[in-house]
Amino acid sequence: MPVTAPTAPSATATASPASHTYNDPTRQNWAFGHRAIPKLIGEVQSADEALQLQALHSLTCRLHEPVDVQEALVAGAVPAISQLLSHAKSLARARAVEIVVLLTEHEQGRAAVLGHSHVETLIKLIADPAEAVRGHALQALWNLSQRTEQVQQIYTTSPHVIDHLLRAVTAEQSRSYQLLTRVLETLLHFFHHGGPPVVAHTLKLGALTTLTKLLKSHVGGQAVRAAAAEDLAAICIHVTTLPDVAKQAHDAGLVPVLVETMDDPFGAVRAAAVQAAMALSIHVASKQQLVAGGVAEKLVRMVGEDQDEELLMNALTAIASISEDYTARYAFQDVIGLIEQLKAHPNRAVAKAAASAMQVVQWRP
Amino acid sequence: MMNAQYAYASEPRPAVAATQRKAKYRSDEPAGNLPPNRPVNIMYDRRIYRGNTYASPILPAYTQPDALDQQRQMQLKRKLKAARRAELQRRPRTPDAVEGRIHMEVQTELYLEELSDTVPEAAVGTQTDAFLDRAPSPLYIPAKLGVDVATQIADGDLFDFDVEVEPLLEVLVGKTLDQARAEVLEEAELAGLRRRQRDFAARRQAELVEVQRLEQAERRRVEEKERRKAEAARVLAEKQESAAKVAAASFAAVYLANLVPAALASLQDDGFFYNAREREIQQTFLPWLTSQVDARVQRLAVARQLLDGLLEAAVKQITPAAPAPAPQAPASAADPVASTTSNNSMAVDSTNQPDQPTSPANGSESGSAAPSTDEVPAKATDDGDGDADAAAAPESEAQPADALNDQQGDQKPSEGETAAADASAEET
Repeated sequence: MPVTAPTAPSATATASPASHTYNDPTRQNWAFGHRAIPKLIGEVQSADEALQLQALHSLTCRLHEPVDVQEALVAGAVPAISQLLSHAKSLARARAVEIVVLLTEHEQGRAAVLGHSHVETLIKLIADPAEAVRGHALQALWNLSQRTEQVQQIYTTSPHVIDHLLRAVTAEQSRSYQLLTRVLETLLHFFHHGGPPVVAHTLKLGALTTLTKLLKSHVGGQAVRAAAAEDLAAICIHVTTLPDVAKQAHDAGLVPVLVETMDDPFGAVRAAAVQAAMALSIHVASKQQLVAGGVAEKLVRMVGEDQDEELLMNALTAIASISEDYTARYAFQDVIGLIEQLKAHPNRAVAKAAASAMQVVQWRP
Repeated sequence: MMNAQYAYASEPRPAVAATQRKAKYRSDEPAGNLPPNRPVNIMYDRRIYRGNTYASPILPAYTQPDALDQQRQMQLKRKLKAARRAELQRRPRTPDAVEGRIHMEVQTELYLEELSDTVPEAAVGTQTDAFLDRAPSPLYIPAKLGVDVATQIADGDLFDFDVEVEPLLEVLVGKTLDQARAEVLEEAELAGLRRRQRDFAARRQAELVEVQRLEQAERRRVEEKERRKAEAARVLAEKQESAAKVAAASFAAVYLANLVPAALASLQDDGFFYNAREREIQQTFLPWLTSQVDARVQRLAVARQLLDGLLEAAVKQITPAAPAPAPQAPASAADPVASTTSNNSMAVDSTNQPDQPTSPANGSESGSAAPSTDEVPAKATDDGDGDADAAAAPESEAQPADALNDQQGDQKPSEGETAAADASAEET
């Protein structure tokens, strides 16, 4: 390991705050080996703002290595950057949140961030004026919401995270589609891992109506539409446990929007729309609405033309669910041959879905 | 002479005589001047065994230890020991110490010295002085001589930026590329992880929907089954209720068919249905009539008794000695009233019909009338007017009507009294 280089510039830098220049390679402090991360974390807490920025920037470069992440956690990086998350300068906030993002990409980092209650600050940063800060904050929340225990811990301590995320859905429609996609993906994590309490909370806030409008308005690219459809699917999966789902879906006119989205040119969007329809079709009244809306024709075309495995699996599962209605069963009689062929699909999930669909389509009282 | 077929690791050498063996000390003479080693006849070499080699070796006599020699050696050893012992005894030894004291070894030298077997040892550390390495000798640069005319610049003398910066650039570029490559790999790995997560989430979603579909189908089937069971139970209950109603209706019809007649018969038996006129006659008129008759008869009887008494008194006055007639005991004992009545009837007969003497016919009538109490009323009835007939005729009916008389005797007294008054009026 190389030894520490002489720190002549730092001696002059600490003498006066204005002497250190940020991002000046000729006047940088260097530290190698085991002293690097602790030194940088110490400089992060320095009174010199330029030095702080420099240290933050260096840390964002160093923390891509898992070993450095571990060293940073041991050296106390999480409490060190807590104050910088509320820094007056947006650049410092962005760098600090980026460090949080890099830390939360590892399980120990996520545990450390949750243990230091940085979630509240991250939630507030969702509405930050700076786009970089918002983006990193959303990314950090996305990282923190990958496991059920973590989501439940976040929701237990800060249930208003859902409110902020839903507000961000509306706000980011006029600002950044990339961040809008990230917001929707974060919401999807909360729906998946939070369970019925989180979904009920979002229904009270009118999330289903908001997402339906978003899907209908075609705002953003395919990523936004696919994410919105996936969020709707994650809500509609609770149609049997939460009675408000079916009611709000009917009030918001979700069924026609889903049927229309099944004609989207992008496969990911179609797959997500089929997934939402598949989840909604469990409810009898919604099933009838879907059949009346012409979903059977769309599914028949998907089964015959699409090759995407996820889309096929969702379409076959939707066929199995919708075929419980006798009018839809008649409509699917023409594709029995195709479904029979799909029973031999190499993907086990597709084959299993085809078998279930065949069983339901061929059922007779 | 070497045999070409054999190869030796060390070529055999002839035995050398003892006198010519290697000397103890090296000779200074050159090796060429040394006398050659003459071989020794091996037959005279003690190391070589001579004799038959096929049979077991028999040690020669001289190899075996000679007993005489052994004895001599032992004697010699004993002698040596004895001599040594004697030497020790001959040497003056230090006498033993006085009792209570011990000998100590004492140094008698002028300067005492500590005697010990251990050699004094001391550990001393040494370190080389921190001398700087000898600086390299400066290059010898001879003094400049001569006059400069031109400067020769050889290849490699001047600073070549491209050459000098190349390693720096290589390091920088390499590190940057490494960092970028690591980040790209990290992003690719994360993208792969997320893709797998999405696939898993999609499969999980489909499985969950399938499970929910099956659950809801089962729930609907169970609800339908419960509904049909409830419906069947309700229909069965209605049928049973209808059957019970029909059975109850038929039973009620059968039961009630005879209820009214039975009730009427019972009421009639109990006497709830009666002819009012008949009841009135039975309960009011007849008792009144009977009472009137009875009163009249009583009056008649009293009158006759008075008359009898008067007549008897008169007769007594006329004939004081006339015996009294024999009493008629049975009839008078049985029914004093009947007898009185019979007497009265007789008196009545005599009163009413004075012209008719008490003939045997009359007497038979009376006689027949006297013992028979039943005939008295008949007689009285025959002799009497309507009131006697009226009193005798319903007498047989008066007994069943007695019960009603008590009940309804006072119900219509006005009518009875009116009828009795009419009857008495007619009689008079």
